[in-house]
Parts: sequence; structure tokens; C-alpha cells
Amino acid sequence: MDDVLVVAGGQAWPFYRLTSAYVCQAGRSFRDVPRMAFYTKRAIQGAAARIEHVLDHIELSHAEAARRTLSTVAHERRIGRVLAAALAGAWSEGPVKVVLLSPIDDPRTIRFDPVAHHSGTAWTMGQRYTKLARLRSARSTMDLAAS
Amino acid sequence: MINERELAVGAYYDQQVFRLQELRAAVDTAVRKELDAAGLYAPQISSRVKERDSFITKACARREDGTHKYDDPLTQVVDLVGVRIVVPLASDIPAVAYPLRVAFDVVEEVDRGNEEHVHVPGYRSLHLVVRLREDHQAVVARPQLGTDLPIEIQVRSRLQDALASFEHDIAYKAEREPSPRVRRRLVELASLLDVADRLFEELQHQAVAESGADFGAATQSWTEVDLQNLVTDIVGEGETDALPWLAELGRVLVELGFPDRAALDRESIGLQGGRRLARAVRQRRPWTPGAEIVDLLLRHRMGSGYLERRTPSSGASAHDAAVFDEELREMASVLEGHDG
Repeated sequence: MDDVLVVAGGQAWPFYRLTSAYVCQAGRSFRDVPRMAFYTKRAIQGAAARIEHVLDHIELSHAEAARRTLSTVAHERRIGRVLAAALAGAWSEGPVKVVLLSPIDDPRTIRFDPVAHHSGTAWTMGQRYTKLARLRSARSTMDLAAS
Repeated sequence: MINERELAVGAYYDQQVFRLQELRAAVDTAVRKELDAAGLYAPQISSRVKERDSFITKACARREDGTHKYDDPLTQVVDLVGVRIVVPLASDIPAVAYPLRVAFDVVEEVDRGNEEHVHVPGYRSLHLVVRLREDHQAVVARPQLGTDLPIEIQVRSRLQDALASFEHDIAYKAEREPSPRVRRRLVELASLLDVADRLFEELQHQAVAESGADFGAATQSWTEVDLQNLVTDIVGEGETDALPWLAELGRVLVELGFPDRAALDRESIGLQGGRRLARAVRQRRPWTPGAEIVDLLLRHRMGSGYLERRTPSSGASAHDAAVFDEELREMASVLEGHDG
């Protein structure tokens, strides 16, 4: 059974490394899987982060980022910092979905060699699902298709 | 070859020019005074007497069929004295128009761009043709100004002004009417500016709403300037936080028992080390606002007292306290030493 959600996006990977989070448009649906990985630069990058929390329809605004960041509740502070990072990046104000992930250097994040994609077309331009066991042994995305 | 009309119009101008200049100065002063009394924010006001050649060209202009555009140019050309008022946004125009209608006799009023059936964007502004009133202070003091000469007052937004200047430059430099292709592009540009004007207006409303909502009772005596100064004092010059961050910092300070800057300074909690902390935090999170740096520094300097003062309203749990302690330990290593 697939247990890793792989999302595409050149910005999502560095954003995760900085914030341990993924931000996308509100209402985007994902299957209920425990891990998330990132596809960019013609490869699935070598980290399957643990999905800790999924928060949908969060208001992305400076007011919301400030309220949460300066909260005394640790969880709120973390979300606030993610919102602040999104605002500092390419995101415009509005509702978003925030996925809190285990940090890149956290033992809960499974590391593996990046899985290269050699085809002329992108492996995914949105999201795809795969198995962690296959990611850990695959040399290329061709190996992910094997049964 | 100079014709009779040109001679007559030129002679009229020469005869009136000093009166026109006096009238311009009087109207300019009157407009500024009226708008100032109305408490209007930052309109740009300029005025001029039409140039002699420009007046003659306009007064002698002909239609395509060769007939004169103006049957009686001396009364029909109404912009010999002109005042231009540029306001920030198109939505500011009505506020400016009202005191002018009260102060002058309005002979004609054209709301260009808002006429019925207008479906093509283009130059939009309010044009008032006015005359001084007999009882106007300037006329009473200098009766020679008279009340017979018309004055044109144009009111337009900054973006409309930019478009009008651009259109004028194109026509002036090309020395002929713009081609249909250029006119089409100008219409496109006008359409963009029209949208931009409305977006600026929406932004202004949003900013005002946020300002009113955020700097209310919750921040007590803290003002936006106080909070920005506090951030600058602690984190360094050049820090400019968005308003909601300052407002939230104000709320935190009030929760901590500092209703204003004096109360914070009295407590002598020692807020040095902000620059060092900012550098360390921004190595990992470059986007961190100055308000968060101040909050982190307060956490560090106040220790457990920080959570004790804030917890009643924010509900921090044992887990939050543990995370807080962990952050304090991280900050302690950063804050050993002084700002470089």
C-alpha cells in the first residue's frame, strides 16, 4: 500500500528544508498517508518526512502569522513561523493548507538517495503516491513502478 | 498668415494678461485655503495662466468641415486660468469637489469618465468651471479681479494625472494626433490604471481597517511609532515590521504588564543582545520579523516570569513550557557576549 505522498514543486523542497512544512492551496485533497517527499530537479529528493499535522483553510496573512508566532503555545508558534515564511516567499495572502512535517535532520525523517527521473516528461507536476520501501532502494523512478 | 480672429484673440489676451495672473494667484490661494480648512490630506495643487500661443491656437481651432470650433472663443474658452488638483485616489475626488462647490459659483461641472454610457476607459477627472463670487474675500479686496472670468478647476487622481501627462507628451512630441493604433494602446493603458486605482483604494480600506482593529484597547498606550522604535532600538536600524506584527507585539507587551514604553524601561529587564540574537535567528529563518526577535528576547530576559505573566490568557501547557525552556537554552548560548 502506498505510504508516501510525493509533491512536485521547485520551491516546496527548499521551503521544507527551512521550515519543516509544506504549504499549498486550501482544500487540496491528499490521501491519508504518513509521509511526504518532494519531486524537483528531475528527481525525488532523498527525504521522506513524517506528516505531523495537516491544517486546512488556515488564513495566510501577516495578522494571523503574527498572532500565532507570538503565542505562548508551541504548536501555534510553529504554524505562525511557517506562515511568516510563506509570506516572505512567493505566497499571497488568502486561505492555505499547511502540512507540518518532521525536520530534515530529525530521526523520524527517513533519508535515502535521491531517485532520478530520466524521462522527457516530469514524473509528476502535482502529486503522486509511492511506497517508502521502494524509494529507499530505487535508483530511478523506473524502479518505483516495479511490483 | 495671421487672420483677423487670431489678431482679435491675441489682443484680448494682451489686454487681460495681468488680470489673469492676479486672478490665478487669488484662486490658487483660495483653493488651498478651502481644502486646508476641509482637512483634506495631501492634494497636490498647481495653477497656471494659459500661454498666449496656446490660447490663440485653441480659440482659432477648426472642425474637420473648416468651420470654427468656438463661435465666441472669448467666452467659450474657459481654461485661461486653470487649477489642477491631484488627489491620491479617484475615490478622493468627491471630497475635494464639495468645498469647492461651496466656495465658488459653479458654472459647469463635467465628471469625465463617469458620464452615462461610457464603456471605454480613458482619461477620467472632474472638471469644474467656476467664477469668483462677488462677496469673495479676494474680490472685495481687489474689485478689479471681477467675477466675469471663468476658471477651470480639474480634479484627478495621481494615476489619472500620470496618464493625462503621458497622453499630452505623446501628442506634443509627435506634433500630430496619435494614430488609431497608439490610441488603442492608450485605452489599454487607461484600463490598467483604472484597475490599479481601484486596487489602491481597496488596499487603503484594508490598511485602515487593520489599523483600526489592531491598535485598539488591546495595545493600550503603545502606538505604531512606539513599537517600531522599540524594535529598532533592540534589533537595529532599518527594521520595518508590517503593522500586524507591531500590533501583536503591543498586545504581548500589555499582557506582560507593560502598558507603555516607560513601564518597560522602568522594569530594567535588560534588552541588550537583540542584534546578536537577530543574526543567530535569521541564519536559520531569514524572514523573522523584528517583532518576533523582541518577543524572543523578552522570553529570555524574563525567564519563567514571561510565561507566568502571559499564561492566564494564552493557555500554555506543560509541553509549551518544556519547549519554551529548550528555546531559552538555545538563546542563552547566542546571547553570551555583546552585540558586535
